[in-house]
Amino acid sequence: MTKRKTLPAAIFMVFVMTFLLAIGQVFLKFGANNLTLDFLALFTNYSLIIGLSIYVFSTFIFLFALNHGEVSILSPIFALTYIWVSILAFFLFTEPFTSFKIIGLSVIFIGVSLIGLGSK
Amino acid sequence: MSTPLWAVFLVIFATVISAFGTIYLKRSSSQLSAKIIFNINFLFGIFLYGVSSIIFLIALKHGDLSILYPLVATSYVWVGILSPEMLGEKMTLLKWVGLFLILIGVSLLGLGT
Repeated sequence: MTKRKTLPAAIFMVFVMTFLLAIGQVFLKFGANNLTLDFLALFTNYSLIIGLSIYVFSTFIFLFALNHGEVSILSPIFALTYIWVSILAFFLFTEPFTSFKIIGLSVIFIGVSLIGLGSK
Repeated sequence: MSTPLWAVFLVIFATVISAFGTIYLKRSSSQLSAKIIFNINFLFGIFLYGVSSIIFLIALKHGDLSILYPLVATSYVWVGILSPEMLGEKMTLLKWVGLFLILIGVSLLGLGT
């Protein structure tokens, strides 16, 4: 019996992570807007702290997924974050969806799907 | 603001570093306990991620996010190049086609912003 190189569970884990990371990026964007040189102010920059925490948490989930899969498959799945960030930006910052954007995001989705299929 | 070429190169350099970081994280991932934080591969991987983030933030100060952000996707290509060498993974045609599509997609994304 051949050992499957990348478990579907690992792919799914990273897939869920991409939603989290998109939210984390939004928090980081809010946090970056409030960045000052005042070191103490960093500790009350809650958006920054939440954003960084999400990234730290995600790194450990990624580690767990990596134990059950190849990087060459799991790593590109993060490209899905572009899609979720664009959707969030549309609703939160009214960043418009141009046709280039929609086509580009669709192509990214197809690309990630192909790579996911490449694990079979 | 316009994006100087050196900012583009800086981001690509950052993605190469982050790709190495990912490889080292993968190397450490078989250590399944909390002791992983003492694992040299884990520490080096995290360190490379940190360096890559700082370089990216420096580039961001001088360039447009709508151009630099899509460039981050090149890290998957570097991972695809490094993983056969450093981890013994197999790169198939399907994976390369998928990566190529991702690059096309982020280019369109950059153009569309």
